[in-house]
Amino acid sequence: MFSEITGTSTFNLLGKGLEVSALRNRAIANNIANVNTPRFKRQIITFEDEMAKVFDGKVELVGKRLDDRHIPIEQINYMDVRPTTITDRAHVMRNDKNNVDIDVEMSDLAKNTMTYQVTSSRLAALFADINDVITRGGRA
Amino acid sequence: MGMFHTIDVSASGLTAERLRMDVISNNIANVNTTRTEDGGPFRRQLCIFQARKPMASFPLMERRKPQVVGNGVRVTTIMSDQAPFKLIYDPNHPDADKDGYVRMPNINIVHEMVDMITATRAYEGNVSCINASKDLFNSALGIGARR
Amino acid sequence: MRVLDRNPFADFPAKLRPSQTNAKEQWFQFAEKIQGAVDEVDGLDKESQKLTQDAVLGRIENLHDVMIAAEKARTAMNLTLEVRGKVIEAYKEVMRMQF
Repeated sequence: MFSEITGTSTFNLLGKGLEVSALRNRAIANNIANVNTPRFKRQIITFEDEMAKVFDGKVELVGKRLDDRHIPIEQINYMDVRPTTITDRAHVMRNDKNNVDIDVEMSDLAKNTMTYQVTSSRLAALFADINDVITRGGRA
Repeated sequence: MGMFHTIDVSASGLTAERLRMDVISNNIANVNTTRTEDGGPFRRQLCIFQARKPMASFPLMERRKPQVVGNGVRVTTIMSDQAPFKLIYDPNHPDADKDGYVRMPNINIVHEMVDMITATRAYEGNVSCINASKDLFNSALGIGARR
Repeated sequence: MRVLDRNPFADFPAKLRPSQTNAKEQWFQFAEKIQGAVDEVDGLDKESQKLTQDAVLGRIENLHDVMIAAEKARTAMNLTLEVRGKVIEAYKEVMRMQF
């Protein structure tokens, strides 16, 4: 019964958004902590592009099964999309081969923080709305 | 790893940068030191930073495993810079050798100042990260709030 | 035309038509649904308690997991209590009927 309340796509997307933003916060913190480490390469988290494609149903990944034991590849469910950690091996100018640009990291930090705040605020409002409806919806 | 792992990562950065500042301050303070306990002029010291690996990672499998976010930074050693000492011609100096040259520490003040600025900026960056993490936690706590 | 010559539900779409089972079966179905909901609430509540304990013991990765689980449990409990209130109200209403 409750999966219809808490299993809507809005709810699921908000939950995933929080997970991704928290992971991104961790990656940015690690990048900034290692801004002076020689040969360190920054890490980024990708998620939104892949999720947008899967959510709109545009991923046409059809696998050929040549054998019965092959696992079928079908349409991906949007709930299965996971964030990916990618090491950015961009060419660097610095002598110590470190490619962390602290200004880029700080701006990413600000963006990510605000994204998390938006997401959690929407989720809070969603819960409050549901509870409002439950409590007051049954009264005349 | 705990929900404050991100703050641990930033804290490791703070520790490392502060240690670096200590080393830089020491270098600047000793820029004219011609006598040390081991004899000879003061040698410039520098910190070697190394990224901490996520727990239980095997180097052979690194490329094939899905990537994991790293674990912060650590100062592995404080090394002496093996660059040659500066030779200053000053025959009246008590530590001058027979040719009148004094060996001075291999410290370049400008270089140290640049390092100091870098360390300060990195320290401030890590402080911003900790504040951002605190913001995230407070936002999450607001999920249960009622209007 | 007499009032009940036509089956008044004949034109309704299939979903809205009342099923032809008798009252006892309908009551059992309803009771099963309620029981299922109570079990779900219990599950959500246990999950929320487990995550809260993990939070205190330092075992969780993300704080928002704890908050979301707590809110889900609270919402589910709220809904169940409201439904329970309505059912009891309905029962009292029926019991008050004078025949």
